[in-house]
Amino acid sequence: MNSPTIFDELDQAINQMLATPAESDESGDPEASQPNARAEIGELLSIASDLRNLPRPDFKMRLKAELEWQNWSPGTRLSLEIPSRRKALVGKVMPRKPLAAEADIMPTLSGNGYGIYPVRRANFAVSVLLHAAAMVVFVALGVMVVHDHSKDSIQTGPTVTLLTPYQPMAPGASKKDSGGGGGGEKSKLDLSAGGPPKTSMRAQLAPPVVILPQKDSKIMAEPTVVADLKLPDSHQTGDQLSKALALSSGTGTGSGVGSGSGGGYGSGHGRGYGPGNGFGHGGGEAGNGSVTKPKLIYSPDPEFSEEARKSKYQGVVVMTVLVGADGRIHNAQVTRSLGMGLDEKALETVKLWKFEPARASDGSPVAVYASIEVNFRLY
Amino acid sequence: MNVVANVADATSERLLIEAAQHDPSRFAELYENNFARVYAFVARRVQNREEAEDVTAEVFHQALSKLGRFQWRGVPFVAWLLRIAANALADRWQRESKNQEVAAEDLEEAGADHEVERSAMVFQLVERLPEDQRLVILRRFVEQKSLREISQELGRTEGAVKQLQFRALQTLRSNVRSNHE
Repeated sequence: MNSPTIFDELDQAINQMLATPAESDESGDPEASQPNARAEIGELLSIASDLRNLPRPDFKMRLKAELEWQNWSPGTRLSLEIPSRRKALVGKVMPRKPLAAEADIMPTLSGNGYGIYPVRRANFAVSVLLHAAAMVVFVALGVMVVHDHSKDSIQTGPTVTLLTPYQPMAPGASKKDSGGGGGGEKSKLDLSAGGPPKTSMRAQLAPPVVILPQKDSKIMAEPTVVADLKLPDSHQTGDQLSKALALSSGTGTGSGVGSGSGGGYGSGHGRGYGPGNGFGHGGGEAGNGSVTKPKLIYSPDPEFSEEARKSKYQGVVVMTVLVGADGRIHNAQVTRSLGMGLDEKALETVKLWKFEPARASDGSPVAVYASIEVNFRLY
Repeated sequence: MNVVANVADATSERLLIEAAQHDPSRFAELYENNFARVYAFVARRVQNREEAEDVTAEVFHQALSKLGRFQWRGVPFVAWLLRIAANALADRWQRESKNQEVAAEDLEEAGADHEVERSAMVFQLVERLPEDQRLVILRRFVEQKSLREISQELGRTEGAVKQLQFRALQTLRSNVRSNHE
């Protein structure tokens, strides 16, 4: 029977030492555990005892790499207050273990890494912050889109339309003044002296005349001008300031009297009275096109009324507004109602609107009437 | 001659510390010079390798972050590192609420520990072993494999591995002796 060699005895002693807890005093004393061991084995076991805690060969290198990173970015040093985290960082470097056998699940998620290379935990923090910021941006954009969409769905797409030609007002005239008229028979003579014709807001059946037609009509209609004001009664139509005595309907054209055109009275155009245009009376600028249109420069959207929003009611409100010389709306009246509170909403809102006022030929701002169409539509 | 050598070493270490204080990248040299002793100091006071590596890493990170506050007073740099290690161990034991008395005793003897010096020397000498001997030592003591497992891994007979283990320990012992002398 072969006696064990010194190699075998040493290996048995090492096995026994490795099987003994490190904190046990016996493990560091080979003579105590191996009373018959030779002196050489005892000395070698003493060396072997030191080797029990031999660091892993890559630990020193990995720690050095960590320290170098700490140098490069002092603010990203590893947390020292969590020993278990440190252990996970520098302790689990056993490449022989398959990844599936690692205690940590997805170690890179917490910045530990797989042990293939040193990990900077700062990267993990930066990554988390960037992802969080991206999430916030995405959520904020989503909220904004949803908010805007919901806002659109309950509010209007207002359409402002100047439905009727603007009507210039005479400076200093009342709010009802809206223009004037004119006429004549292309006579060489100015309008003869007399008084203004009667006024009526009804449809003009017969324009004012000075020289009555030769043929009597079977249905006589009293000549009128389209205006809403009181004029002094006169037995003869004419110009109160005229010095011409010979009868004349004036130098204008049309069926009226005066120097304008149309069926009115005065120097303007149309069937009104005075130097303006169109029906009515007043002292507006003579001639079309001499007053610019007011231009909308500020128009906040009107809101849907709660009732209309719930009922998904939509439509168009038409208003007649007076755009003052200051560009603001001074008078607004609904001419086509929509109901469900939308008329009131439209009125409230258009009072906030601002215009670049209409301007006369000399550039001065003038007040005009305009029609506005406000479109309430659900999108 | 030894006195002159010690003074020269101290001067060199002081210059190295000052250089590292101005340029932290020079800390690598201090790390290389003192790693084994710090690790050995810690390893003799903890229960396993993972904990030893954990505390050692903590010590060097703290040392690097506090290096600017280090003032040279003629004491070797390793003494400062071992003081950090002792505090780290004490903190750790205090957190674990055990071994507090042992910690206090250990702190007292932190400065002069010949066993620590020898362990540190052994750790460093392992790196200078012939490659086949070094592999056997690492497999046997770090990975704690049996000789049969090592022989299968290295493709050698168990007897050959057993002899390599013996030769490696002999080499280490003789080198420790020669260094002590």
